[in-house]
Amino acid sequence: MDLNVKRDGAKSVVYVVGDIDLHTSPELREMVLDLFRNRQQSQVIVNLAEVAYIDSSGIASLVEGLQEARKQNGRFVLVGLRDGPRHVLELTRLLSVFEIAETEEGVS
Amino acid sequence: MAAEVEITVVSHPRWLRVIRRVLAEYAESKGLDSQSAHEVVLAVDEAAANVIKHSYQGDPGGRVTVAASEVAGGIEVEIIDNGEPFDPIHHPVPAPDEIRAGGRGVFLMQAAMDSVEYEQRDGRNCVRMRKLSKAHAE
Repeated sequence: MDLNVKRDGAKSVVYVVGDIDLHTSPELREMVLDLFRNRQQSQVIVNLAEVAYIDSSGIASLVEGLQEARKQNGRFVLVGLRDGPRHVLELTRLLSVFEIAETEEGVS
Repeated sequence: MAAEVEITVVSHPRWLRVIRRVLAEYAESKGLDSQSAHEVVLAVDEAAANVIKHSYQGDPGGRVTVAASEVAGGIEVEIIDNGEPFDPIHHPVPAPDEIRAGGRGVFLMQAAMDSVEYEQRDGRNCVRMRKLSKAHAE
């Protein structure tokens, strides 16, 4: 898994490439929490267009990002969900819990 | 019943990806549709991750074996380890709507597969899961 961040003021987009699993999810978790806690970001968008697979540890990292955003009165958005990750969110009944947009441009 | 495909890796999360690739190939070769194949991969990945986290408690010195076989109407996969006894079936499963971070692995295994069983066999943990093709599951 590779992570890249594009920052624009208080808004960041995290681009994830590759599978998010028990091996890789800690890195994503750390990055998202760092953006909210230490980099004064109020909006974090996670772009999952290049993620074909996510497991429960990846879902846990995203839930932590959402919780941190709420704590900071910030915003946490998922974009570019592919079929696999979308299905895992459906199975865990979390699809409606996250703010989800098709594309970055679709985030108002 | 002898497994058609069997893979053993050390108990480090970096090898989960290899298990997923083997299982994806196996599920597709048995004619499961892409969503069912994804569900098999997900459940086996979660079971193997549980072995690493709970049975071996993060120690990468153990072994995890995944063995896949064809059964009537679908496939059966066993995940076997020599770690501490750990029964995921009776592990507390959080309410799925609860907004908490972790603990969804076992819930996902049960949601993704048609059956999930655990037994201790010859002193080893064995999780056995079945996935039926959609025609047989209905």
